[in-house]
Amino acid sequence: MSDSLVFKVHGVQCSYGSHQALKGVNLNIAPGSFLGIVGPNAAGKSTLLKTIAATLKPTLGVVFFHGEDLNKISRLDLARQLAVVPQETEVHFPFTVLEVVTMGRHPHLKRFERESEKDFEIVRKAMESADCWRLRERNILELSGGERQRVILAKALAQEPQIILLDEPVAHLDLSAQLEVLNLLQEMNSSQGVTVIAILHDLNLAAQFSKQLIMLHQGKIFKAGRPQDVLTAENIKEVYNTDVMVIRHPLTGVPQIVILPSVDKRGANPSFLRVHLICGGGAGGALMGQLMRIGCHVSVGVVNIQDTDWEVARALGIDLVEEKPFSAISAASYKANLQLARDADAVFLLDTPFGWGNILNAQVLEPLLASGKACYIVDPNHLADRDYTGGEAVRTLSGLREQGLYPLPDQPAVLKIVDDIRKEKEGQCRDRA
Amino acid sequence: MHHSSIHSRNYLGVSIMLLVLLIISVLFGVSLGSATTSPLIAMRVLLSHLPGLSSWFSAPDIATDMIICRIRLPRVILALFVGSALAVAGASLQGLLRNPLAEPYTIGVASGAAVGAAVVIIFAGGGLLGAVSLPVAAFLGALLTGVLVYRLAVVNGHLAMETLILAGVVMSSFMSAIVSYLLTVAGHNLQQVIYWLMGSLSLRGSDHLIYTLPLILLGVILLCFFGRDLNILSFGEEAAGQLGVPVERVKQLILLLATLLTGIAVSLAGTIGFVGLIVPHLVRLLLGPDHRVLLPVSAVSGGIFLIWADIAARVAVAPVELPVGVVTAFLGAPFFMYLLRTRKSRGYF
Repeated sequence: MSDSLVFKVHGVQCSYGSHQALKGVNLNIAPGSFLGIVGPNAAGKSTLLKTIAATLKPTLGVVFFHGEDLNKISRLDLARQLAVVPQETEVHFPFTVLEVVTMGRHPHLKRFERESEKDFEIVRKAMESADCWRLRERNILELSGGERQRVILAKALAQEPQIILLDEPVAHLDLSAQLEVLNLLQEMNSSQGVTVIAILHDLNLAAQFSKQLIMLHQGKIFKAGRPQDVLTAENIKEVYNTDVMVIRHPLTGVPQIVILPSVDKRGANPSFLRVHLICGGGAGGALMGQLMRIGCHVSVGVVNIQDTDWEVARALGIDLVEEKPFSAISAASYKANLQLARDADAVFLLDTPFGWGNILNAQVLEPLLASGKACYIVDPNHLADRDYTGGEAVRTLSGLREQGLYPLPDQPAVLKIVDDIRKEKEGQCRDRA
Repeated sequence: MHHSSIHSRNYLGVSIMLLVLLIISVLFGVSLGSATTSPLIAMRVLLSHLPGLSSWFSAPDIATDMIICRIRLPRVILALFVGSALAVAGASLQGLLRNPLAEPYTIGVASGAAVGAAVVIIFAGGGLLGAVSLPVAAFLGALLTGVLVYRLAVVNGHLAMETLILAGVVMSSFMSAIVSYLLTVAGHNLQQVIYWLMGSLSLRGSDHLIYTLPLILLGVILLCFFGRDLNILSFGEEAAGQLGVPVERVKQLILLLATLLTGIAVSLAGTIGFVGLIVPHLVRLLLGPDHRVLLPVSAVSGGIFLIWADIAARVAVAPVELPVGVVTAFLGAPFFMYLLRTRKSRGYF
C-alpha cells in the first residue's frame, strides 16, 4: 500500500525556533514521479525538501520512505538511493572538479575502499551528462556559479540515485543551460524511472517539465495536481498576489504564465476616460494593457472566444463583447458592441484582419460616426493586406473615411490621441470649476 | 580510465620521497649537535642495533654509541612524534572547522596544558612530584580545557563549529590569563615556565615515552582514516549528511582524536607553535586539498619538519640551545610566505 510510494509525508510540521515553516503537510510521491514544487519565497519549499532529504527532522509528523520511517534509515543507505542538489554549495578547499564529482561515489564505497575503474567510469558518465567533463582539471573555487551548479549536479548523478531532490537547480544558469539540465532530468525520469523532486522558481519551466506540481503557500500545500490544475490565474493571484494571464503553450499545451502590466490605480481621477477598442486576432492585447496602465477605462468588442485578444481582455478584467469561437458576429453581439462603443469617449478600430465573420466590426462604425462619435482607424494604408472579404472591408472603411473616420499610422498614435483627449477633458473640468 | 593510476603513481612517488627524507632527517638528527659525528657513522651505529645486523656494523666507540642511541635518538623520535601529532591534528581541525586559521591550539588545549605545567613547575618545584608529574599535569590541563570547550560548543545536541572556535578562543584567553598570573608569582621558576611555554624537546626523563608514543601513533593512524569524510565535510555538514556521512559522530571523533593528540604532544614538549598551522598548509599547497593524502603526508612532514627545527635549535647558537618553538616560527614563516607568493594562484583563502 504505502510501500508502493517512494515518500509519504504525513502531517509534517517544521519549526525554526518560534517560526513555523511547515504547518502540516501531507504528500504522497509515487516512484517515477517528476514533482515540481512551486510557491513564493518563504512558503516552506526548501524546508519541505530538506525534510524529505532527512536533513531536517520534522517537529511533528513523519516522513515515510518506502513505508519506513525516514529517521530510522541510516544516512548511508539513504545516500545510495537519494541524491540532493542544494540551492547553494559552500566550498572551502581548492578541489579539482574531478575530485568533487568523485566524492559522489562515497556512499557506494567501504571505509577503506579506493575508487575502482568502474567508479571512475560512472563519474565520467555523470560529468558528461551534466556537461562538465571538460572542467575536470579546474579548481572548483574558480568556477562560475553556473559551472559550479553543473559540477554539483554531476556529483549527485555519480551517486547513481533512484531519487533526486533539487532545490532550484537552474537558478544560476542561463536559458540554454536551464533547458539542458531540465531535459537531462526529464530524460533520467522517463528512461530510467528516476524520481525527480525539484523546487522550481520559474513557473513556466515548472509547468513544462513537471508531471505533477504542488504549490506551497505559508507552510501548507495550497494546491496539488497536474500543472494545468495548479497553475491557474486564480491560484497565482491568491498565492503570489500577482495578476497574471495563463495561456496554453502553443506546442505542448501546458499552462504558461504571462505577466500582466501593473495597473495604475488612477482610474478614479476626473480625467477618467472611456476607450473602446474594436479588435481581434491579437491586435489589441498590447494596447489594452497600455491604456489600462495610464488609467483609462477600456472596453473591447466583438472578439471570438479563445481569441488571443479575448484571453487578454478577460485576464485584465475588461468589459468585452464576445462571440462563440469561429462564428460570425451575431446581431446581438453587434448591438452590444455598438452600445459599449456609444458609452466610450473614443472608438479605435485596430489593425485587425477582416473576414466575412467580423465584417460587422467595420460596419458598426457607421452609426457611431453618424451620431458624431470620435472614431479612429489604425494603419488604414495596409488594410488591403488584411482584407479577406474580397475588398468589402476596404470599400466599407474608405466610405467611412469620408464620414470622419480618422486615420492613425500605428498603435502608439492611439496613445497620443488618448492623451490629447484626456487633456482636453481635464481642461473642460477646470473651466467648469 | 587513467586517472586512478596517475593518482596512485603520484602518491607512490610522494611516499618513497617522504620515507627517504625521513631516514635522512633521522640520521642528521642523531649526528648533528654539540659533538657532531658524520651521518654515515650514525647510520652504522643505528644499524648495529638492529637484530641480525650487529655482526655487520659496529659503533666506533662506546661514547658515540651512547650519545647517538641514548641521548639523541629518543629526542629525534620525540620530535618526529610530536611533529606528526601536531601536524595531523592541525590538518584535521582545519578541515573540520573549514577554517584555514585553525590549528591544534585553536580549541584552547595548549593554554590548558600550560596552566597544568605552570602549576606543577611553580608550586611543586618541578621535580617534587617526580619527573612524570609535569607531563601528567599538562595533559590533565589540556583534557580539562578540551572537555569544557566541547561542552560549550554543543548546541541542541549538535556540535556547532563556529561556537567551537569561539569557545576555544575564549577559553584560550582565560587560561592564558591564569598563566600570566602564575608567571607574576613564579619567582625563581619564571625562566623554567617561560622555557616550557616556548616548547622544548629536551627530555625530562624518557620512561613515559614507551606509553605515550604508541598512543600518538595510534591517534595519527586513526585520524588518517577520516580523510574521505573530511573531504566531503568541506562542502558543508548538510551536504555531507546527504552523502551518507554520519556528521555528528565524525565531528566528535575527529575532535576527540585531535584534542588527545595535541594534549599528549603539548604535555611532552610544551607549546611548540606553527607546526600544526603551517605544515598542513605547505602540504596542501604542494599536493592539493585531498585529506586522504593531506593527513598522512602532513603526519610524516610534521615529524621531519620538527626534527630539522630541533637540529637548528641545537646547532644554531651552540652550546646554548634555542627553544624549538622559536625555530619553528623562524623557519616556517618565511618558507610559508614564499609558497604563498608563488602558489597562491590556486586560490586558498
